[in-house]
Amino acid sequence: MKIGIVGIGHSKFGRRDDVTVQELAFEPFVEALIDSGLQREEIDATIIGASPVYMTQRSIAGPVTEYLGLNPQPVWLTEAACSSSASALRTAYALIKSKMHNTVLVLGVQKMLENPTSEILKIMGRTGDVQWEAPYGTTFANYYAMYANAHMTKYGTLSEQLAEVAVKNHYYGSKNRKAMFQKEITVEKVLESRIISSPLHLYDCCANADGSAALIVSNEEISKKISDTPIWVEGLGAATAPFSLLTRPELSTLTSAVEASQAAYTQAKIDPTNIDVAEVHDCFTIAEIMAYEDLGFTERGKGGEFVENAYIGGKVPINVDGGLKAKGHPVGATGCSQVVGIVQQLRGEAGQCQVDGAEKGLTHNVGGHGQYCLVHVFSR
Amino acid sequence: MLVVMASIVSSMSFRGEVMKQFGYRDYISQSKVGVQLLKSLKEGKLEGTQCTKCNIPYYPPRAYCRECLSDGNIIGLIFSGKGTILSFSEVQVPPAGFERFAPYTVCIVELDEGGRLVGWIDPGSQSLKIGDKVQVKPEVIEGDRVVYKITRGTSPDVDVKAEKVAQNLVTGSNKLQGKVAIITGAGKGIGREIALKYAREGAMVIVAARTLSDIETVAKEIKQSGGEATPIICDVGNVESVQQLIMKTLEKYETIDILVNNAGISKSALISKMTDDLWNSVINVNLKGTFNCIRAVIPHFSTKRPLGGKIINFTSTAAKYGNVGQSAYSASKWGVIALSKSAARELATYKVNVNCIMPGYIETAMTADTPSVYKEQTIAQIPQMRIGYPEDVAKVAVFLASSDSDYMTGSILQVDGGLRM
Ligand SMILES: CC(C)(COP(=O)(O)OP(=O)(O)OC[C@H]1O[C@@H](n2cnc3c(N)ncnc32)[C@H](O)[C@@H]1OP(=O)(O)O)[C@@H](O)C(=O)NCCC(=O)NCCS
Repeated sequence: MKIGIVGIGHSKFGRRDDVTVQELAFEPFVEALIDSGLQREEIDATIIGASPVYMTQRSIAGPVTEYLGLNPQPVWLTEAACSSSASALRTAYALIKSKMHNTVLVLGVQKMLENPTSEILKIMGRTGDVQWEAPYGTTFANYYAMYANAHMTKYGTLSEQLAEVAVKNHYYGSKNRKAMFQKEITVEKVLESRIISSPLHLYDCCANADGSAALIVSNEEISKKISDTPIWVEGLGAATAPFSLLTRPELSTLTSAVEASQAAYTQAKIDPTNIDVAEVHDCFTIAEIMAYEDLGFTERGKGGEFVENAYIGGKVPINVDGGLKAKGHPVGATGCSQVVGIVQQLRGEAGQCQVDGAEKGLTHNVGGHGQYCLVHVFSR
Repeated sequence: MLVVMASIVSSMSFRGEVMKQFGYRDYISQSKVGVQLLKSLKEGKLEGTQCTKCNIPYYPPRAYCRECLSDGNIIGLIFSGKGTILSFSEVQVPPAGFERFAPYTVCIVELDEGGRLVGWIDPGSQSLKIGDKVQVKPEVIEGDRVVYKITRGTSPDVDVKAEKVAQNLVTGSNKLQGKVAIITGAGKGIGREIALKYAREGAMVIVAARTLSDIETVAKEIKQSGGEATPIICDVGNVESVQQLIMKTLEKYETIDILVNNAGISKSALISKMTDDLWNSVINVNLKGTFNCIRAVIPHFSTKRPLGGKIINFTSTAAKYGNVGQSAYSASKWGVIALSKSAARELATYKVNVNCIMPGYIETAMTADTPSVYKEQTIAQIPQMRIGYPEDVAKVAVFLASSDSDYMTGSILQVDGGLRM
């Protein structure tokens, strides 16, 4: 049995003081429901992807489904830090495959900006090791900065190359009305921006954000019946790596990403050269460069030179909706947001950022600073 | 040989502080492996554990072996103390609670024996490279907290330091562990006592004064009892000599945390008989000398990372009350108060505290030749009815140099048994 995505929805990302978490969840849900043509009653279960620690409302699965009118169907939350909603999709896949449910709503929703930046950094920092690392004031920018430093030292990667990633993603973000930042930037602007954690500048970082995105996932039979353009989930890879840097084998690569992508390629019976378009987890510019290598789009150490191949027309267009960098990164919603981007591409509905004839797409969603990674492969 | 000590500090009084603030459990001393670790650490060894069955070392320590899943074979491990920088980054935008430490540089160290740890490198990441060699020492602070101290370079006296840590556990409370302190006028009297006491508290002490034999004796005394000290000749009245003092200290230890402006002279004459030379020499040493030292250390304090420092100046009850024959002395000491308050304001942004100690009648060489009648009369005026000892003053100097006084600046602590309330 194949598993299809039959409905997608995406809220505006950014500062969303105008809505509660329930209202924020409602926005992409309604879009996805209309997109699928289904009735609420036809949704058998909901899996929410979110990182609850940032939000005032706790155990949001209940309040959200009540608001969406999805009682009495079951709902629960999956949490894997920034990869929470990719994990939710994986859960939904297993539920449908096992025939426990036929149609599942996967909803990534996140409010972060209820907190000031320094609080967010503190909460996020505790995704790292609170015993041995967080007491030194480690932040995520700091972790990725240490990866960047290791990558630069080992392979000669340059700050300018990091900046090129930001320039690309802001370029595409400028065309995405759902993105937090819709302005183009230049390499000079990136390098002039203030240092967050050396060598990473402000524009090397994604921004904390509020946002939500929804997917409606169905079994093969329903998918074919209700949709002319179901997008099939062809491969799901997931892997973990030690959550503490003290036991990470390598600092210039995410081993979880390497393993997750290999599992996904194997299941989908393809290799990286078959991917027409990808969404990678560019929480920091170095993360996108590492992803080029970890996913096998280029050789190890050559990520810095690959950026020009990641534009439309290049080898593999990557993050052509703006990526986390320009869209903003509401941690629990990002995994679903990436899938929405790929589904639009494979349906041919991506407008001015359409990759012509895209048949196979990939998402790469990293949780924590590499302790979780989920790679999904989709096809038309 | 260049000993670069305390240049990379994962200051753990800091860690203790943060743990309290964040409500972190002090896992190291409370976790399953903690008790054993603490014990071996107190014996001057450690830290980490090892599974004797699978022969795997664990830094950080684990209670269960990852391979055989058993806790039966876990033993405490002796610490190698050497390692390599794997990566580092200077945090400029810190999480809540860390604002006052920023910017700070986090580094990951790979230990030669296997295993890694995360700590802070100070000062900053300047000229630091991935692959640089470092040393790491575990320490116990506040009696039951385990801390890391990471040091740049590999000096041969690692083991000596390990012993010192162990000794300090017994003799002091390590309030100044790893701090670099300059004490002027440290050859004798109050300055000497402060030097000895700081060393017992774990500081690396620069014993500065004009007379080489005096400072050599004090430094030797400190080293013999397991501390760390360096004698440097300095005349605080001479700007060039002061610059030399700061330069040599930075050459040796790469940082300065504490400056004690203790050097001073007392020359008496009634105003009507006071010569220009006498007046000038007292002002030049007591007031200008304190100024010289503060001015010379500011470039370091302003660029040091993480920011922070302590300046302790010496005034006198003579400043407050005046003294017959001591117009120059008391004027210079009153000047020190005003200088300190201005410095406290100017240096607050660098997280440098500037405070004064105002000793009363203390038994030192300086007061030794006061006529005994005068001595008796003075003691009679002291509510506590005894003369003060250098030790009384040194204790307060430890307080002002330690984090216990972090929220004090521009203040005057009177140490006089109540003589001049
Ligand atoms: C980098 C960071 C610390 C900056 O936060 P901040 O200091 O609070 O920045 P501010 O919100 O004051 O923003 C200042 C300006 O820069 C803009 N900005 C903030 N973050 C930005 C980013 N990442 N990219 C581009 N512009 C950004 C803001 O819109 C604002 O512009 P304005 O002055 O025109 O309104 C924050 O964005 C951050 O923590 N990012 C990392 C998130 C993260 O680690 N996610 C998990 C990864 S797995």
